[in-house]
Amino acid sequence: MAASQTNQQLTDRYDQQLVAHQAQLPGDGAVRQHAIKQLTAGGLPNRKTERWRYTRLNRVLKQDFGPSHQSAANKDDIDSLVSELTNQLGAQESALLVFDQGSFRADLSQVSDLGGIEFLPLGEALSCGAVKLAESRDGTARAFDQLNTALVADGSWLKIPAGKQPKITILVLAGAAHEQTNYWRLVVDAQSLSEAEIDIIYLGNSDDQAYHSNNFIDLQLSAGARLVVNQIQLQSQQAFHVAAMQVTCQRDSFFRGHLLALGADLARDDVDVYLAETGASVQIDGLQLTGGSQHADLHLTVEHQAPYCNSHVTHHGLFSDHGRGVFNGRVHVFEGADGTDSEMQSKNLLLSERAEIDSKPELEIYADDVKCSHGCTVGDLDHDQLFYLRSRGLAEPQARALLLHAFAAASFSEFAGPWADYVARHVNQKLDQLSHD
Amino acid sequence: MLKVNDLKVEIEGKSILKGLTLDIGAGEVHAIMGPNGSGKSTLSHVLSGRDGYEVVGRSITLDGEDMLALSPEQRAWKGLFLGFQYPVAIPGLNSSVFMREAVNAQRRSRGESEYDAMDFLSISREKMKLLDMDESFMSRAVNDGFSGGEKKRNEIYQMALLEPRLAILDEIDSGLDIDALKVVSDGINKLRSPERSLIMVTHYQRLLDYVIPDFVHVLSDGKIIRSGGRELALELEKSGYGWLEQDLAAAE
Repeated sequence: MAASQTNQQLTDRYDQQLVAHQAQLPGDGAVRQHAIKQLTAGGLPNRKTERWRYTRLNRVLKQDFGPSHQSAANKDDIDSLVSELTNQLGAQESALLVFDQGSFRADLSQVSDLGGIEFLPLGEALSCGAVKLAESRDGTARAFDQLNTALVADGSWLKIPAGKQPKITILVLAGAAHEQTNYWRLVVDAQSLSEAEIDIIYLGNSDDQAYHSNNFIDLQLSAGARLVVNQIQLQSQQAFHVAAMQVTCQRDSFFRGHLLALGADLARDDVDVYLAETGASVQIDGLQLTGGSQHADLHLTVEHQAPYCNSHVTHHGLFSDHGRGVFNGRVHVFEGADGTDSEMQSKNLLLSERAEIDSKPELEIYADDVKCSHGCTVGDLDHDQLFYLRSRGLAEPQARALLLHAFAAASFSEFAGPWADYVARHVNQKLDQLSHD
Repeated sequence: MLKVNDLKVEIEGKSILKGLTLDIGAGEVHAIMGPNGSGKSTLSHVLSGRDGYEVVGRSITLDGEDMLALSPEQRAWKGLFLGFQYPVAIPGLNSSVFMREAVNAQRRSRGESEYDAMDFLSISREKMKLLDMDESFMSRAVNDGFSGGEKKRNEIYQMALLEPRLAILDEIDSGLDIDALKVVSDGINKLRSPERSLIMVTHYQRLLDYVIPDFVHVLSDGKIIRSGGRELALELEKSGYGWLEQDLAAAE
């Protein structure tokens, strides 16, 4: 392990990895070459990178993260994880796709009935040309997207037709070996008037390993499509988790997202929503729960590019011990995007004096006729709520515990589907742990 | 049962209650009326143990026991209930879960066995009928998105479940239209019993047409300036609070 590698050394290493693996990587090599050029030109985010100002990488870059597909998970471990999840699914109608260290595992997946969804492992889809690797955005802030574009080998490509309401669960397992990196990518083509729910669960193999899980999600919603994506991040304690989600919404489409960040040592989520055509709307609830020395960062941008689009974003953060959170929510209303209706809220509870949240809702408006609001609260539990509960006979510790659970639960009150109980159980466990930190 | 003796209360150094005395017997219904700013809500809050109030004089006792030394939950365990003027919404907290926890906390405090989910459900249904409430109430978050009428009905439903010995209803009539007022009053009347005392704090006499009090007290500038029977409320409605305050000034 290198004690401290320079930015240059790191990006060079990634360059070498691409050179070494290029032959095995599917799809257009030129896009990968371009991505690695972007990466070496800009470097990894550092203290001067505005979008990474509150999230320093020093703690994770001490690890010598190697390339992916070097070691598969222990078979027993993965079997027990997958069977726990399939038990959870039970008789519910949800197909299951399992990815182990970035690679599709047909043997563990349930793909007999995908409810009309067309599915290809991304490696295959890239090889046969069903989908092209999209170029990453420029800039140091997007370094991990560029890295994903350069080195991703597999993932999932889904095409959702109209007429059915399929539900699909994607399990992304990472961290089988120490200092391993895995890359994973999801590309979704939600066709006109389609309706679907995709639940993504990120799980770490074991709490002993430090690893880097690098994920990129590209969602295209055609006219009138309705897509629900629930992202449940339960990485292991020492994980460095990065996930970028890019959502493009065409006319009258609707995107509903839940983003739950419970695990990882350092977690960074970037969500960029493009409301590209008239009448598109988006509703996202994000929940961050951190304790110990965990750090969770959510950067969320909504681009109102067209008139009469709606966006509703609510972030809930609950931080204990030395836990930290970052929320940067930006709403950008383009010139001519009249009739925009946008609301963004960030609500935060700090349970210890050492916990920290840096929350910044931002509005940038270039249209005249818009309704935009944003707000941010940081504090302890609400006194009126606490008194109300105590006046009904609940002792103070119990009243506080109920309010903590309520605060978190409010963030996924509309979270239904096959994983509702599973998520509630994990959130409750995490909250119990946080209130004892 | 409840004795409030020469109670003096300040908020941030400002005197709000200036020597209030009240004696409530078992099963009695008392109305406390007064104009805005007379100290009505302060009295409700101090009785139920909310912090932020400084009690600078004398006592509140329930069956001879000092209430001021007790926390809000301990007072609830002794059988005290406060119906809030503005019940707070708690998004994310399921009404049914909340009330089962509350009922069980009170049962534990009395050494009684706790209700399981099924027991609670059947008791809860029975109480909801009293208030003509829809069962969907129970699956909603506490007061979240409730209309004014729903919030007040919910308060009385909670009272019905908790079966207090003494209930203080703080402006339970505020924000209610006439139909909702009838439903809420009806619920309160069904909960009257020889063992249960009620204090109804209100600005308007209208509520007292539906829930007939045994005693009426007029609170003004932190003191009870007149006590009487129901007829006092009717007189107040005719002549307004100004009449009594002038009367008082003349007497001084």
